[in-house]
Amino acid sequence: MIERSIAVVSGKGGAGKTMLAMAITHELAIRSRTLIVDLDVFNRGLSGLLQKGRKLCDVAVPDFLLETGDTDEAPGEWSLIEAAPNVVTLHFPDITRLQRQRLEELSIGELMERLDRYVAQLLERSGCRYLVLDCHGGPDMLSFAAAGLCQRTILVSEPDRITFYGTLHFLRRMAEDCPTARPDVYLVFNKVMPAFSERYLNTFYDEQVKDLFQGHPLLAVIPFEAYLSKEFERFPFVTQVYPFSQLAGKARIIVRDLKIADDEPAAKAQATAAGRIMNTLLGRGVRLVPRFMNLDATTSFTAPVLVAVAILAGTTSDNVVWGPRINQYCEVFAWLVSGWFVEVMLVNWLSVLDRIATRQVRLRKFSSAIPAALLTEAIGLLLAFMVGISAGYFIHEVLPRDHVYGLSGAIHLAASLQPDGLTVFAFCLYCATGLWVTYNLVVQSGITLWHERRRSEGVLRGLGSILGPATAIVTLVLTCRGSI
Amino acid sequence: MNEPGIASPSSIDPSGVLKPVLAHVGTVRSEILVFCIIGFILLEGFGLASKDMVGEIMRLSGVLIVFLGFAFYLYAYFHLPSTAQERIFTEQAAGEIERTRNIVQAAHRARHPVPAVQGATV
Repeated sequence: MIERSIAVVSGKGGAGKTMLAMAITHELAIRSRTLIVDLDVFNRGLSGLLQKGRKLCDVAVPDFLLETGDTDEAPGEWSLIEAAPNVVTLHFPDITRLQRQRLEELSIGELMERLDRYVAQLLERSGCRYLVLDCHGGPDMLSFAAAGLCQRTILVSEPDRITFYGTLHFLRRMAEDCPTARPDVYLVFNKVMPAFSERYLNTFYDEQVKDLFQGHPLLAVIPFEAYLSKEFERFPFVTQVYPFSQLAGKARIIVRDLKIADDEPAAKAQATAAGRIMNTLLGRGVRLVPRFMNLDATTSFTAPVLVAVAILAGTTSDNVVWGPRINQYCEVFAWLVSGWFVEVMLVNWLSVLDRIATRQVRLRKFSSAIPAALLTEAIGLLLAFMVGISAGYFIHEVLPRDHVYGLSGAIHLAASLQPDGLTVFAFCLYCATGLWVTYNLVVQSGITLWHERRRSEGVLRGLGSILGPATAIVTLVLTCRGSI
Repeated sequence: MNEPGIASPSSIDPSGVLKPVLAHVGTVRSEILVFCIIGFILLEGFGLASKDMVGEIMRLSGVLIVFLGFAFYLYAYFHLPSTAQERIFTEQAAGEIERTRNIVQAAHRARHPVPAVQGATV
């Protein structure tokens, strides 16, 4: 077994294996020098992505591709290149028909032995500490050999019938074909659509398939992020350009949970109280965006509800006895639903703007980064101003004067199920959502920057993050005092 | 083994008759909650309009409906599939998982055969 190594395999192509392998490589490269090898010698997707780089040295053709007694015909074509700082990859030409035949003739045991020798040689010559093997999309001998060799194996799947069928097929084939003990395999659900919740997939895994993975917990649930798929073609290390994406966060969690880097500074940080708190936040914070914050789901839900409320209010408004009362409730309910929709919409806009600004900063395109960042900050401040002024107006004008405010007062009012109480409930709900969003946007990005040791970006983001709540509080106080 | 995300039949449905129904209603939990809230609004409004005992009963029914709606929402959130995709994925994967489990266990047994107990008689 090769220490500090990860094999990334899947039961079917297109599950996002290469993108995940690259994200993990970037994460490991933050710690130490990392070697990534494309073992998908038939499709060579990774080789296509990492074509450029500084050549380090020539290496021999692996002997599992050569007939006994063959000589290395083109040694210069197999080389190690430094594709990015701290990232080394193996550059090689297309394998020939004869080499392919040779590969298919080998037994799995023989292949494992030779691959082990070859990879050990590559690690030694490149001076790398970590190894990532990106395998073929489907069950093949090289994937099984890599799984048998590496300290950890990640099996990438998707929660759909076809891919999951391929995943189970991979497990069956590996059980039958792999002569050694069962490799240490962890499952990752990738490209998860909003229709599936993280909670459901964890329950599904625990109750149905956990025993097929030696009792390991589900390693990660990674949502489908359409913009990353497009950007991956342009930037192989896409998580470097999008550090606040879910994929980047999940890659950090994966490296932490696989415990292959526990002799690194991360482990030292873990020994301190601050480090442990950061680690807990890191684990808890990177989750799928809940369905109630998804713009499409919210739009499709709120529109019919608002129509239903409008019809209800319209049909009862003629009745002078109970019409006004029903209309009062309808008004509160409509405010609640439309407020939720507006909040989700604005948060989504801000996330997109923040993503663009961060991308441009990371690519050092400051001419477009600065306007994008300023626009993000301006919208954030405008929102904070609106929250402050409406909260101030609410406290100053709407709430009954003789009422005791604070949490107990709010709960008492809400429990009375009167329109005023429901308004308080709605207000508390939005405050809670606001806190949650702030936690995700600010704390998570802070953790990321702390982890990547990007102090200047961290300071700028910290300043930007303080301005929002400060504006909201100042506006709130001024409105309460009647100054605005 | 229970289907994931579906409550154990013994908890609320001892006979298991409701199991297929429960698998479906979790996907419309939000709609049921909205329906309950609108029901509450109507009953509250009607109840306030009539000053007698019937009005009080209507108001109480409204409160009961909205609490039942919230209780069901919480139950569905924790125990039932939330979307049709989750339910379908669960149903489709079940058979294939069992087949895989049998093959993997058989391969494992073949690799690590259980040693025969000395002195045992058939």
